[in-house]
Amino acid sequence: MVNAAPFPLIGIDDQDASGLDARMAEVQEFETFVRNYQNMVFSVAARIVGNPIDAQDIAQEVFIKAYARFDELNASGTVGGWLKTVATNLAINHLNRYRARWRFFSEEETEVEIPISDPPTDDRRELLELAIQKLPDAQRVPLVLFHFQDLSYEEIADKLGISLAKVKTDIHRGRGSLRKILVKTS
Amino acid sequence: MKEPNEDWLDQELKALPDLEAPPEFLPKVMRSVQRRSVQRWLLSIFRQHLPFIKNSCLGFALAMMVLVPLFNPGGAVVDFLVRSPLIHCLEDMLDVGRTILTSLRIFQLPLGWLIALVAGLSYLTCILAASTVRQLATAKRL
Repeated sequence: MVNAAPFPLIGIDDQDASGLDARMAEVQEFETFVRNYQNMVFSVAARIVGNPIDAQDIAQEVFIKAYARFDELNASGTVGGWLKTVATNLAINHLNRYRARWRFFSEEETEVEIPISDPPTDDRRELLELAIQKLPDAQRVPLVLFHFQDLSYEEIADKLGISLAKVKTDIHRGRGSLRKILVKTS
Repeated sequence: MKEPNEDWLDQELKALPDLEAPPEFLPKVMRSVQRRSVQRWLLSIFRQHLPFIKNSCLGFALAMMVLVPLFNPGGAVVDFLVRSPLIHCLEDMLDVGRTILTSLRIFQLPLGWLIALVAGLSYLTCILAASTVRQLATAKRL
């Protein structure tokens, strides 16, 4: 007796159901992936935009992009680098889109002050983190790209579309502000 | 650009650990990922059955081509509309409107022409104003 092939009705057959199982397994695997990299991606975004709420949205967007090419990323050995680059680009786009373009203000010398209302802390790291957040965008973004993303001055200038001299000045000013705060509080 | 105390600041920046993502971050990401996963699964099913869907649509179109001339549903709709009093009322109203627009004259011009002229000029003014504002904004930004 010859088994006739089933008529291809639209519906969820066994193959489709196993496809769903595979997807669920993939989602679980992705959850582990997010758990491993969430702090890194969140840090990159938070330090660039200087705001944890916006950083969460950016980090979420990064992981959604990562999910779209999860198979490819899983196979490659440069996942961390890819996530950092995407987070950096999205954070810079976010700043350009939603805030006054920071390069116009980069000529101003800004004194960074940590408001008294902020919770006082003895933890030097926490203080440094807070000071970075409070830096004006023009100083914070190049400084973060230089110190945390290990980009060269040329790469930063290229990424932000500003001159090399301005990058150096902004990083210098940012470091100056950080140093003042840390010396004052030590 | 010489940096005094460069070393200790560099060291402190280098020693900064990653910030901790808020606890609600992971569930939020996974919710949207799960939504996308289901969408992708549905899309893959759709793609898998695409030939069948295409053939069904073709069959349905052929059946309609045969059935429509037989039953002529369009004719029934037209008959219904022609008999409808609403259509007659609409026809009368349009007739009155046409008479007003062509017969009534203001400044020796038929009203219809005048309205068309005013509408055209208003449209041109809007376009000019918008492009001027845009140019001014661009000039200011530069």
